[in-house]
Amino acid sequence: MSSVDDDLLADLRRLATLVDPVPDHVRAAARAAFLTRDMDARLAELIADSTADADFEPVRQATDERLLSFAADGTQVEMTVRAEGAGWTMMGQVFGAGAGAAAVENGALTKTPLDLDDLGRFLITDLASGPVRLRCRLPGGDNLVTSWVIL
Amino acid sequence: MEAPDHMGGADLIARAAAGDGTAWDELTEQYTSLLWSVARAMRLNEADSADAVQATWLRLVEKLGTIRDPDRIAGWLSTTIRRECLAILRQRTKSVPHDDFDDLPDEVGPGVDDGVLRAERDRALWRAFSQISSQCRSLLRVLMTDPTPSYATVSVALDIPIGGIGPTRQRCLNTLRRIMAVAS
Repeated sequence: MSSVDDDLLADLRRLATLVDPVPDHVRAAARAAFLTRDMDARLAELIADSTADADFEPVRQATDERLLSFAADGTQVEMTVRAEGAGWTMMGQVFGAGAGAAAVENGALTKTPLDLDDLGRFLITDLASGPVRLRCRLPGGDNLVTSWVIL
Repeated sequence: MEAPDHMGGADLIARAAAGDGTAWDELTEQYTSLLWSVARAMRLNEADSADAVQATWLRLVEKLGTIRDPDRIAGWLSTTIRRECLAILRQRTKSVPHDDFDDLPDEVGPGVDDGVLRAERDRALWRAFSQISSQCRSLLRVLMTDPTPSYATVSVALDIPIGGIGPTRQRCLNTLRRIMAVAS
């Protein structure tokens, strides 16, 4: 481990801060993530993701749909996500939830409202890329949020 | 040259878990540049890197109360950003026309931005960096993080054996010097 190497790496480090710095909006989003802390809602954790189950190989199936399953105590959420037009379409079902208001929220906590039908099904279009999660109210009054999905 | 990982991670996690926003800000201040470097080392473009870094912090917020070993927060973050990057790459690959997989744009070796790098030697060095193997570029890009991450963290982030980091680093820097010598 020579000091010549250390010096060269120090030069590269200096250049990286000039050529490829962390953008300010990335630092701001990192700080703002703390606002998504929600101690009261029940978290439905991701238990299956069709893109994660294969090894890192391009999946060459006809479908471009991504299937996601989430589970919390006694409640399951299933959804499919696909690119459509300039945005993302998400459809799915919150099992055990009846009709009611719900929302998709992004990392800046901007909420896009949606309705669950009487079987807990939902459809939402034109979502922007980035991390999102689904939030809804369960019959007992508890709030449920899914873990984050990056669109 | 193995710098220790940042100090006080466990304390910051505990305080953030208790609702202390200042501790959270400090955590992001310490580790965001590491996460950014890893995403760039994994050849994600700027927009995808931004998403991966944000998603990593969002997941930490989700897990704040349940982090088992807060002393190893750098390891947890490195594992998580790596997973996020792989998920994004998989998803993006799907929407790329089939035979172009190997032609995914390489965003880590950006063209030398003459407006940013004024000294000729700096430009030559960054040009040389864009010419070394992608394995070397990944490793060096993570080692360029300021402050320098520990080899344990680098090993987790890039999924490479810890014992190989020192020798690979040396070999990559030698290659870089050789390219610069030929060019000058």
